Amino acid sequence: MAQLWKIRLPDGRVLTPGDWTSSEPLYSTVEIGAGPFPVLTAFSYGIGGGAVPGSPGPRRSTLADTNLQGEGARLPENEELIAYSLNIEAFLIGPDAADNELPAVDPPDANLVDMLRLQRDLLVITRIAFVKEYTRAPLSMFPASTGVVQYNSAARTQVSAGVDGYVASNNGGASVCDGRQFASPLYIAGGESLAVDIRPGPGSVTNLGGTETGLPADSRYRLRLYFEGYRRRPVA
Amino acid sequence: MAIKKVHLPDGSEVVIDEWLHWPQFSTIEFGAGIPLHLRAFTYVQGQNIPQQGVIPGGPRIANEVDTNQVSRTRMNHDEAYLAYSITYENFALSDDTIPDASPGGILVAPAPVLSSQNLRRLDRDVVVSLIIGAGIRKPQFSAPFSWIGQSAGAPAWASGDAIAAATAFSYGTGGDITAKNQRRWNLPVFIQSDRVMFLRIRSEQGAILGLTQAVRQRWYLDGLKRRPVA
Repeated sequence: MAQLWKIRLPDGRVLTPGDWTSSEPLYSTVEIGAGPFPVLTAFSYGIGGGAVPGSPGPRRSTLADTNLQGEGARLPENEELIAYSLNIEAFLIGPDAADNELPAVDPPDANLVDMLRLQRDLLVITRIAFVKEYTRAPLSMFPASTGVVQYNSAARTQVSAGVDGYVASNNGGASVCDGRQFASPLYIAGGESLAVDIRPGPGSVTNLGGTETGLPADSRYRLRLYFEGYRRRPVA
Repeated sequence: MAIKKVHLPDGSEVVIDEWLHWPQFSTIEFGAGIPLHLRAFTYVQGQNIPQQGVIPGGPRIANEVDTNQVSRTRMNHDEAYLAYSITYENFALSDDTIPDASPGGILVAPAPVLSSQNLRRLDRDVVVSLIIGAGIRKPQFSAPFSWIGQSAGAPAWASGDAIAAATAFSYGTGGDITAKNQRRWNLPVFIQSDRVMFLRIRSEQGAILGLTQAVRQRWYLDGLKRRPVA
């Protein structure tokens, strides 16, 4: 590997150079559809090297899905991460269900009733080194801190051909200051296993895109997860 | 079993702890028209969720999004908790409709959306108390529901018009949905290992007047948890 790991000075001292940055989050994507699934694991694949978990096809990952280098499921040997926040944003993929409890929204906005269902039913479990869990809390405890604040006046949706209004939502607030910081940051060493499991408590996201009275659940959402913190990257 | 102490050959003793930011959560469910008196953190996964009143779907077994409590009504013997805040989420379990709706009904808050009026009714009548210690009656925290900010949940942006012909809409959250919308206890509450603990949610004046939806509440203690090492 063409990389400086250590510099031995003439007096015998050894320096370990590192390029630490806090400007770049580490991110990964999963897609949640209607129907049962056991678990979808973010950070389980690298750029271009794997399928996006839960995606139809499945879809090959791009830089819009993840910036994790290597084969996935672990941090590359020449990187480190001190994460002080996990933020999860949601996008509606494809058309919203016409039979939802609220009128359909135009993608990629999230429909409020679906956002509440995702928050109600999904659990986020962070595993580091596959020994212990470092988070185990519902989706809503990891607000996006990204998104669009809308200021509308009699707006209508394209999907309803300008007939219906809508109620859009987000996983928590859309501002940077809306994110939740870990009281104790998480350290992930180079080469260490890393995974964030998205698990539905009831076995699926109940009624996602459908109705409480039994009309079919058929919406699909993309969740992009960000670890924010300090990253050590390769030098030279 | 956790390693708590290590005796070194020289006779000295080292105490090992692992503290981690770990929101502790528990869910309750209640219907309209009842004098609410429920306790959260009193069950583990696989047991019945505390319910009161008429709940669509009836009794329900707790799964992993309902609670991460590992022992009933107490902190586990190899854990401890330092709570510095409390927050909650609401999910309606039934729809709300305008009482004098025209034929077919005008939907104002379809489940899981809780209407702003119903949330305000909870604000008015419900008092929440955190009790720690067996036989202890003095709460470590007690305040009206409205005092507690909602930091987890879904904000909403309406289109500025009726969502469909003759269809009104209502949704309420306990303040802005942001991680900062939870009051920080400057003097955190410590819950020692094995200590009895629960959260009491009670409407102090009997039935919650005017409540028209069944409600699921997921309560969070936010803070640091000491957990087993090795």
